[in-house]
Amino acid sequence: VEAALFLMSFTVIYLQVALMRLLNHAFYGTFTSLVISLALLGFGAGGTFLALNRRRIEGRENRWLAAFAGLTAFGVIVSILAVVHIPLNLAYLPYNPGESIRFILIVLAMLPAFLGGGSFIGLVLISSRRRRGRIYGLNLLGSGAGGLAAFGVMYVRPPVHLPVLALIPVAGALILTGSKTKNIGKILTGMLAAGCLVLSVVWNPPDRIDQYKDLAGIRRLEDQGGARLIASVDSPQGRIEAYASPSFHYFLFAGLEDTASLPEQIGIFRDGNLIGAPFAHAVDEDSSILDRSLPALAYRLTDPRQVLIIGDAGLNGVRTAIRSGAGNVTLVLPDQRLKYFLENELGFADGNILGHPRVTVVAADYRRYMLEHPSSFDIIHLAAAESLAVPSSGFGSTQDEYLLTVDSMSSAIKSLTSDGVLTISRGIQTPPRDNLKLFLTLSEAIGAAGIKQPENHLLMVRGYLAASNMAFRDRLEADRLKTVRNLCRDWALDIEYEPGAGDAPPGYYKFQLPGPEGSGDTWLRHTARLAAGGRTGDLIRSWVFDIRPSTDRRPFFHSFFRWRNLDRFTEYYGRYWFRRSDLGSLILVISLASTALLSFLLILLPHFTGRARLGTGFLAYFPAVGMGYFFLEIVMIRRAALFLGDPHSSVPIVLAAILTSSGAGSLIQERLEWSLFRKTSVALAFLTASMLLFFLPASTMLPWISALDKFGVVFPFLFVIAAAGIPAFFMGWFFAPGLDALGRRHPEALPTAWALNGFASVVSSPLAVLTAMNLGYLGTAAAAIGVYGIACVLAVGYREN
Amino acid sequence: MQFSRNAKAFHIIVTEVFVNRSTSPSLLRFLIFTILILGTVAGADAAGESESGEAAYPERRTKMVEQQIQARGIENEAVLRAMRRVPRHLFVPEEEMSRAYNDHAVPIGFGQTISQPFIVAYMTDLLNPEPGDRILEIGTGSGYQAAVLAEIVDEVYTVEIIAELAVPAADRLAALDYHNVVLANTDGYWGWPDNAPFDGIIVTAAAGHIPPPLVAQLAPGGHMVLPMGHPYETQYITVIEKSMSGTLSGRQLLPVRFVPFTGHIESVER
Repeated sequence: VEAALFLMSFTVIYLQVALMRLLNHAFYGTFTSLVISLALLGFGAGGTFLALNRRRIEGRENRWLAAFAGLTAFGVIVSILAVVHIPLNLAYLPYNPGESIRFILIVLAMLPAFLGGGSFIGLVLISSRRRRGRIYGLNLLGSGAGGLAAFGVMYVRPPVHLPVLALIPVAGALILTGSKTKNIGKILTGMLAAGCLVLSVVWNPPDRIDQYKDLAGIRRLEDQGGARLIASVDSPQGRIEAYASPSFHYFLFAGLEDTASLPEQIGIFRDGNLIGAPFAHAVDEDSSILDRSLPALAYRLTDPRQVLIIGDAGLNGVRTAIRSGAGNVTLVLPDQRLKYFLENELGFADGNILGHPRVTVVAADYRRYMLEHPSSFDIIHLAAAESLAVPSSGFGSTQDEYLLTVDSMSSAIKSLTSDGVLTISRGIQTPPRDNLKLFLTLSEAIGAAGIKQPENHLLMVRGYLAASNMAFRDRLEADRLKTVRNLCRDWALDIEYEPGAGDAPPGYYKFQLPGPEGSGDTWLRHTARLAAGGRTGDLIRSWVFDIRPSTDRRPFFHSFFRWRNLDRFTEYYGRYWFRRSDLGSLILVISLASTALLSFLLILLPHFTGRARLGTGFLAYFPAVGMGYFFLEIVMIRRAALFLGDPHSSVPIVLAAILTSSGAGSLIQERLEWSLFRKTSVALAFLTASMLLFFLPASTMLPWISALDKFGVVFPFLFVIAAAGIPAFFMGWFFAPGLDALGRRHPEALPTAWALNGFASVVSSPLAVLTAMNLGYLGTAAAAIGVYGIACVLAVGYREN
Repeated sequence: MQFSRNAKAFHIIVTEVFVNRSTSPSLLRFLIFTILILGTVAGADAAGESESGEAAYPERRTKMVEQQIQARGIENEAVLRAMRRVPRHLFVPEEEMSRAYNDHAVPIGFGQTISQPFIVAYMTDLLNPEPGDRILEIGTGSGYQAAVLAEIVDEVYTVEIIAELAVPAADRLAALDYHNVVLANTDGYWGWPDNAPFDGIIVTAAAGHIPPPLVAQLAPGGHMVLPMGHPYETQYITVIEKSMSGTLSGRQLLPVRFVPFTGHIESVER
């Protein structure tokens, strides 16, 4: 049973990470919280089921364990079928009841696997009256192993194959538990296990991509012979695919009167989102469209001896630099896989521009690279901000973005030479949001870099689709401004902000955007002037979108939705308000509401029916512990993304570290003959102290990580594992001893405790993200410490005999 | 009908009573959001299913023009006449027919939509088409926009890159006797140089770049109308004008008037 428990724990976490990856690939990252909630809902609902059926289960545990393993196997298959086959048009979710029903079906289809897994683990934990710590520890060790395995498999299998492989450990659990049942049970579980193993080898589900993702369009061309897949590569950072098509054209940065056509391009997609569009061949005269583009502007305003380009998967920035006469160009890419992909699989792209003698390519964390090179670059071009796909930014609102924070920008400004310029271009929205937030972030970053009067160091220029925000280390003097004006006139670009900008005179704009009534200004110009004129606070408070500069402690650059302005959206857009708002935040709340409702129905409501009773006030201990655990887990995963420079790696690494370490903590605490209060209060003290490490400023932490990186690429990961492992070790001191203490007085209340813990965890998944989006990660960690404190207080009144 | 009215009334009451109170606490906002979602779902269904059947479509079309287009300020009689004449329900998938005249875009598959009736009328109006004109449309989709234009001008050239949309659109337009529409299944980036210049160009697929070949094929004095923005975002309409001397100017227009300020900053002196 212990081996089967390990395998089932492995399966549940593996499947959870695999489904998160699959949904992120097929749809959007917003669904991550939904999967986590469903996994936890499975545990909670399983606890309730066990509580209500104790008598039916007692004495027949082996049969039930085999049944739960079978349900998990069935659930794995159903969840994959649902995600890849049920048609869904997210844009019409609340407008077409059919879409809502199909969405609910997909959600429900993912539940049985977790219900089976949760019930299995719950039953083993409840029925093992002795050595509960060992069982709990095995559960967490299995879970940790599952997370790490998922991380490893992401390098070798595409997203849609990941959950299929969950059938292998389930088959193992089926064989182990089936062998303890009677003959018919043995036959059934054996057949099911064999079926799972066969499926894990032969099943090749279709690779689904949401119809509105960029890749869907190019795949339609592929179906009719108008595009072809050149290369693909898998990694935890996402599935990268490159397509060649003569019908693919993408360039946001041209001026209105640019007469040069785009040469043939290659589309590079990460998880279906366009991250770059390099030219397929590169004859120099073909790429003349770059010479009058927004990113080319910076090269006319300083002597580009040393140029740093961050995350330019499309290579247009590198080509622009070379065409503009840059001395040395360093392209920093976020990971080795992308570097290999661009240098080898797409080595021919843009005439092998990466092989140009003046170009150096480095795979490194952006933040660390900039910190390591102070006062080094004449131009820093944050091209990665361009490929953070504008179309999916609504869905990206719940995701961290550590590149576009005040701290990051400040570091970039410090990496500039005295007459250097930092340039970032983003697509335009109306009403403005991305570019306005960028402008405010840059303004604050200039101040944070120790430069006085930031308003004299900023420039915003735009074309008809995108705007460039530029920060100058030196004050923008009259001669430079004159050059800017001349270039904008020649290239048909519009200046939205320059130091000392006044009202736009009539006929000023080549491409007019909406603005305040009765004014010739656009909203961009109007608001940029307000911000530069010291009205930043008023502007932030009053703007329809959330344009607060994002920081390392609240790194949600793509979060623009404001609940308090919901009425404005409903007023202006009528029934369109849902489609016109940030779907990421809204779907997170829908996930919270739906999983809270489901967990209320499946977990809590049955306990008010009279068949099972709460029994003791001490039961409040368990939801507190569940919530605290989950809040800290989210904080550690998200903060570790800053240290590792990669959110995709931090999820499985930190998850595995937390689960194994809290499992170890649970095992060790069993040996301490302390009261529950003493255990929990000591754990809380260590927990609080060790969490402080996660909140040291990036300027302190990142050099440490860089120093470790010099010993080997694995050392930053080990550091993060240790950093998460220490608090997690003490997080393991709460749940199991609480169950032990309750079990001694009220053994009949154990399933209820399990269910309450599950319910709190279900709700905590999206709640933790919402809390972080509003209060930042420090606030979320403080809330977690607070609820752990409540658990300690409850433990005072529950001293053991 | 009763249910439809109730759903709408409920929605209005919620909006008026709760949403407009700017100081509502977060919990209340959350409840309102939940109610709005439910109301939107209920309203969508009720509005769509209220009147169906072939006989009801002309009446629904008339109402669509009155309530969704004229009421929002479109006065161009040629555009209104065209919108009244084209049977929009025949341009959507069968399962969406009952929603064809609703005040929203309708999915037609392959990540494409048939635009909201008001947007079709608005873009057509911005193009300022007249009898005798030759218009180029990029992104045929279902063929609805081409049909509306064909009611007004002499020649419509329309280009669709997705074969699964182009073929049925051509069949549909032929079946409805729109013989002044010529359709090609090709890449619209390069326009249709053989038939250039065009008095107007309308791009109905969201663009990531204004193709210079299209600008070149626009006749002096002509207008090009493009939607910008992703289906998941606030979409807006862009108009490019080519002067008689060939210089370009552009402006961006929102389909609704959206004032982004709230509260006291509205009174801040610029």
